[in-house]
Amino acid sequence: MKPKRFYGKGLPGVDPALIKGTLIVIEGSDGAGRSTQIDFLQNWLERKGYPTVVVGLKRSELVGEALAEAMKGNTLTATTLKLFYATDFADQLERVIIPSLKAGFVVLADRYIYTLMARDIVRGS
Amino acid sequence: MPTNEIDGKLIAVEGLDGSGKSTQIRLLKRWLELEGYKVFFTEWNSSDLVRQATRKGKKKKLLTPTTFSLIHATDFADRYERQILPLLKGGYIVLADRYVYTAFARDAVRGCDRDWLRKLYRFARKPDITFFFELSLDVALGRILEGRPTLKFHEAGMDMNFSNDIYESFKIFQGKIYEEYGRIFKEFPAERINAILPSEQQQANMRDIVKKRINLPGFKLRLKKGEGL
Repeated sequence: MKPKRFYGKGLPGVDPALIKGTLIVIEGSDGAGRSTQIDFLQNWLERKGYPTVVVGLKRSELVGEALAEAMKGNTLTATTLKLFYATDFADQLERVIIPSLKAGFVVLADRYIYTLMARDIVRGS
Repeated sequence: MPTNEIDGKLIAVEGLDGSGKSTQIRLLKRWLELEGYKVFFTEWNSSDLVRQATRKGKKKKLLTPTTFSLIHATDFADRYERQILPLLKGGYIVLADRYVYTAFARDAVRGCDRDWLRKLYRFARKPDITFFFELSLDVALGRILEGRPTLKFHEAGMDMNFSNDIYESFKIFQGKIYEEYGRIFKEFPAERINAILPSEQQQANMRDIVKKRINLPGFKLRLKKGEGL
């Protein structure tokens, strides 16, 4: 099996060779039916005996709530918002996605960095 | 880093804790204000967002070098886009007590990639003048530690597991930041201030440099008739 790759330099202290699980990303606009399909996938995988975990935007323990709260206020500027989402993503990547993959889990990602890239490009990055 | 359409000037001070940079930039601010220039002061402090997250992060040991760095970058971006940039565009002299070089130093010590850090802060304009306060590590540590102050967990680098003793950890952490600053100001230009000199001498040197490098009369507050200071 080929070693898993990162888009950039990866994370400090993470050896790609130790990442054994599978990462499945579900992208698509609002209302496209992502959540429903993810539910189906998770049920199916777990019934077959594959340990599964679901991640998604604004769900980090570190700043998920703060980010959701800040979105309501509508006061954040483009760069701030982008970095806020990056923080939220990095927390889940380092503390949920990578450890789960190391433990051999299937990780289902309800939106991934492609959504963040798409939004930031629309906002002028 | 972007520079166009900006009339203001950005002056930053950097240096170790205990180097006296905050005192000096406050004196510089007082001088510019009293001379009647448009001045705004900003510091590398933590907003509610960072305070909440670091408190939570510390309690539950959630923060990694990457998330620590990203959350501070988020906080800085907020301050940059809402205060620093608009005031620079409005023709102010903006004085910054610590700037992105603080993140470059601190986060690199925590293990973040140096090149990644420079990309992370690419949105931020380079200062017109950066003052780097130089003094030996021993003197800086002496100034900070003689009063046995209450050090904060992250400030002392306790997350790095250098030592269980918070003062010992602080010393090791500051030593590494000291080395990293040396590297940074080989890469980026800075006016070096000898932080051992008497305070008024340091201030006189800074004012000379500011007068030489910034056309100050262009920053006079324009008062309407009958309006006082």
